[in-house]
Amino acid sequence: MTDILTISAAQGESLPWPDATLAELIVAQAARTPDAVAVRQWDDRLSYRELLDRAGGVAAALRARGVGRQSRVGVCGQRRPELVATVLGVLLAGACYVPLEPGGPRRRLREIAADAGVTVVIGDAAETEFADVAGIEALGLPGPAPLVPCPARPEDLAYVLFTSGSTGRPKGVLTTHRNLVEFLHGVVSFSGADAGVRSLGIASLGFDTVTMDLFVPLLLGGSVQLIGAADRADPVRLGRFIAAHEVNWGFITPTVLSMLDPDELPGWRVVFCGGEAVPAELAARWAPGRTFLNGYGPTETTVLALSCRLTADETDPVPIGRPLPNHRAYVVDADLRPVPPGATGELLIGGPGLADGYLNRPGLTAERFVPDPFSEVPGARLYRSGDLVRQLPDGRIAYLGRADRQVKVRGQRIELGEVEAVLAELPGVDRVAVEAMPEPAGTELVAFVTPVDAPDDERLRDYAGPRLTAAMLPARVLRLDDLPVSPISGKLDRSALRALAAAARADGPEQAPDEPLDAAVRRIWTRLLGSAPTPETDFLTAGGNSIAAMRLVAAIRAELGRHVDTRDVLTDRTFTGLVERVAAAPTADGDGLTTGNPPTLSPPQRRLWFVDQLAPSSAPYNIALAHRLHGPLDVTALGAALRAVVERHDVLRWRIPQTGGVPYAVREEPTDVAVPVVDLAGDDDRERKLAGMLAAGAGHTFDLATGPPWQVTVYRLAPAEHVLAITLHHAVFDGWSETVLYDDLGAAYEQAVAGRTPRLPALTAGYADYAVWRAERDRRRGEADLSWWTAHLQGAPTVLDLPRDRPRPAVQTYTGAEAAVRLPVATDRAVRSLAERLGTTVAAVLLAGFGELLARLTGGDDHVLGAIVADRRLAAFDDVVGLFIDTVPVRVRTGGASFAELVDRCATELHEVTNHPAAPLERIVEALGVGRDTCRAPLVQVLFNVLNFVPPRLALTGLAGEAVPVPKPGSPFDVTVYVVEGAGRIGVEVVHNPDLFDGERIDALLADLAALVGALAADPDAPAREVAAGLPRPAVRMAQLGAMTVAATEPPRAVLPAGPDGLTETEELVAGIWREVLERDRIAVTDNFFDIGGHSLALAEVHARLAAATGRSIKMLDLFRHPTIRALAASLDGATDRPELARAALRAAARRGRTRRNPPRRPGGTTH
Amino acid sequence: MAEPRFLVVRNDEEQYSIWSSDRELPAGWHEAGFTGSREECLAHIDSVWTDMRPRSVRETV
Repeated sequence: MTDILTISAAQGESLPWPDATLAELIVAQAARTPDAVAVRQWDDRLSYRELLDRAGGVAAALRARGVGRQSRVGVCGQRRPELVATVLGVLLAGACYVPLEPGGPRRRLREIAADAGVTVVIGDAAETEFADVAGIEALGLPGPAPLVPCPARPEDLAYVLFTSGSTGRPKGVLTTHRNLVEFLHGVVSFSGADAGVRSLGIASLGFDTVTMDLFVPLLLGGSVQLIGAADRADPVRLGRFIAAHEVNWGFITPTVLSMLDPDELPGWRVVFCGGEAVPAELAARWAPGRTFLNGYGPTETTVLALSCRLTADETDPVPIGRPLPNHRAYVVDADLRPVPPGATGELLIGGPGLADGYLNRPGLTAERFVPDPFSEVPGARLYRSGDLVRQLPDGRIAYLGRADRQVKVRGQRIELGEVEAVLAELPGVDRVAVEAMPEPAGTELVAFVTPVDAPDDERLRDYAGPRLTAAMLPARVLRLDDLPVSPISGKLDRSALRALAAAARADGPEQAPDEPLDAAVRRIWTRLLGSAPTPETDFLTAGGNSIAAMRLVAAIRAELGRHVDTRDVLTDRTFTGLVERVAAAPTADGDGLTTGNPPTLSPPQRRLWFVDQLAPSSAPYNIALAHRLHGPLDVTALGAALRAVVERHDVLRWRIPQTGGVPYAVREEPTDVAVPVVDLAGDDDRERKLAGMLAAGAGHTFDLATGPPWQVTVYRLAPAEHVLAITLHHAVFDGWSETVLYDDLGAAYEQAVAGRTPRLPALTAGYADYAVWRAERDRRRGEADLSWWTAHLQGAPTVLDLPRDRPRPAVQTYTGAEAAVRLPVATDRAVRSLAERLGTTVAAVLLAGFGELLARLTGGDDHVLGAIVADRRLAAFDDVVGLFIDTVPVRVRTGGASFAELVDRCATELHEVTNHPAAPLERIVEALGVGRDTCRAPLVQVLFNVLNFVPPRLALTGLAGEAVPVPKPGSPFDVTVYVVEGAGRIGVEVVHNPDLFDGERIDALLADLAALVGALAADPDAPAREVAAGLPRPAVRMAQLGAMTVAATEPPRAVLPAGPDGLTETEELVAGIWREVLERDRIAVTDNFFDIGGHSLALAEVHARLAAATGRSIKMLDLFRHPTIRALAASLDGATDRPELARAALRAAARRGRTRRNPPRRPGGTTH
Repeated sequence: MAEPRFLVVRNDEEQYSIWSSDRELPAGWHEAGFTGSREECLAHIDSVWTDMRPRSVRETV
């Protein structure tokens, strides 16, 4: 036995791991946290239960095709959450997976599939890539199916990864469940990951660090934040994804990490970096304040073999670390004898991470996996890494280079011999040599081919493209008469080749800049690609790659303030094309807009979803539109036009389901729209019936989770007279959208009646892009805007009670009734001229008048109303249908001022409140600590809607039309005031809640408002309080006797007997859920939910969990009404007549939750 | 200098490898009855190691 102290060797700590398959361990974890989020990509989430259901479907479909233990199955899927289910499903079927990246080089993919003996390829891209391949069945994603036990054993293969092989043939590394489970346990222990882990899912499935991305969280109850292809290809989007998904743990290559800003990502606590050499400078930027780990390991020893924490003070080359648990490392000479400590040698790795070998390559396996002379385990093997290393005095190992011709390009391991072998097969190519060169965009391959008239770049690319991965494609090709030969050895002179490559790069053609933008792009291009472009220079031919594209885009954004996409660079690849795209790009100084995002809810949508859950129906949040159309209406064409509209505006196809109280968006595919026609022709009573039906349609209850958020009906009144009625849920629509909808519908209808299939131009940005853009904006500016709001609203009253006729119902009703007034001609004129004189809007004048009226009604001088602010701040959102508005508080302070001064204040206020959009209303409410109350909307009970649109017109070919008023279906606030303009006159419309106010009172209030505004506008410089002091009249000012109270709620029922620790069982249950959702250890039974960090979305989560735990339908309102643990528990117990039955039900629910395979929704382990 | 000689060796899992003929064979490894240059040994292994699954795995199928 060799003395370990005198040789260069290191051993990881000993750490036991479970003797189980990865699939079994994930199934066991899923049973513990079925409702926790397992995989997330923006709003696309899979809970553990859903993940297993989907994986079960994959496994069942595979088993039906004879797949079982020791089968190999190809996985070909896009980077969506279902990809994780696909991989897991293959493992659950007992098979191992072979990654086949969609979009990769086709021939290579097929060769790998053939080499691996794959007969089934599964995944959402399988059919696209493999449908026409003989001997392979391509399977799309099947539906969910129940699980059956996984037949695999720990020693069976989990995956086969193909890596570059020196003979021109990729080699498949055979990795077992045992290899993987042992590695994962080691890395979990080493990095201190736990159930709170939100990993960065960034590696491609064919890169073995993907197993860390996916399986570390899935073993722990954490979640995978799986980044989609578009976000992954752009450094700005990547950074935003990481921040928005609150990634706290993840592996990344140094090249990509170098493009991110550590200050932007403080929550990423554990950064694993590796795959290629980590520069000391990178460690210096990232190590402070977080755990920054280097990771090294060949695929043959399962992902990582060595690792260590790096500090900010490393020097190049930074060490690759010490062996992970259970791993061993030796530094040996050419005879595999250990070298003394500090001497250079080849790194050999031993331990349970060693793969079985290479698929169908016994000779190669025997060469690389050699007998282990150091192990006490008889028959053990060591893997020869081919990496030259030396052990530092502190025991860590430093990487020095390769013993052979293997290089790494963008983290991908490449045998230069494989690239040479492929290029040599191209007819017209005589000899080939390939060298890796340090290029400005990172290491790149340069190919040298003979003869000098060998095929040109394009032919070479056409040939090699399908055979080599992007990283393996030579960035440049030099054509020579002969390859240089060393006069001494007679062998190929590789150093001469490298000198040639460097020289060829230096004398790239220079061109005088013609214009500033061109010159600036040229400067960036030259810096990043190493040589100046000609107008026709192709980005890829010039050595560009996806990383260089990311850098180029980032530099153009940072230095020129132009937003181009990596797709722009890679689609139109010439330099001129790029300059054109940069010129056409929005200058938006980093407007941060990204496009092509998957469905994602915006904060206002979340708020509407929440109130939709709370309100008895969606009616108060409906927007109802109707037009009377004269002429021959083509209903089929109308249906086709509507289809074109919903194709263009995908938000109209969204559904908003929820998981564990958290709403998310999914998108349906466009379908044909069948327009229902209600025939009222010939009915004498048709106008009355029409009015009734329009009102009923406007009050339609949408189920946001399952159905379309809009509906259409045509009422036929006569052969050439119809009313087209469209009702939409506010969650997908706003006032501005109306114009967009009418324009698009008109354009599409015109095409449809002309007999064409209507097509509308695609939008540059969709609603999801707004939601993502907004999330980032709110993240950056949220705190600043929130502090503006809290300062602005300091000391303001949070309740506005107008004199009313009935006690306020204990629970807010959303009933609506309408009233309107038109300003007399003289008043109208006075208002307009005052607005003109003060340089402000009519709305500001009316707000000031309304504020003065409020002061006279309540006796106070300080009121908070709500206003509507449109958040369409980028031109790209102009043509997008969707909810872009926010309700913001408007503080109106009257008193001690002339009306002109009041108008000025209101104008300033209306201006200022639009400038702090990054803190949505619910955050403001939360920050102000406004107590929640079921009887009124928080903070804003009266809305003053100053968004006065010119009512848009629907113009349909061959039809004349006019808008038909539809009664507002409900009232989300006590009173909503709309400032409108019609027929050249200013009007005020009011929607109020008749459960609070009589119609007569509102009519009188409007009349007095009009009179007061008239008087004030006519005498704007007098003290406002002295003008028309008799207004409002007593009938408006005086409340009904006893009406200014809140109707009593039912008294709480008797409380269940308390247990030994003082809590009833129900209280225990509620407390447990509160603690999990609010992430607090201690909550007193009398703490108010909203005082201890609770907000409406958290309440929705509590609601979902409570309903699941008790198996009962619980009203969300009850949670509002009883905001303490004690009150809520009492109400829950009281709701069942016999408390002992309630107790039994709770026990039964708890038991079910522990034992059932598919229990109802119940508390999960994580919150979001 | 004569070309180094290697042995084809096999462990109890019936995994093959090669080992320098002038060094002591590590525990648990046995000669498989072939000696030659590195290339000859690897070629031999290519022809005889037909089922690469470890013996313990093969036996559970």
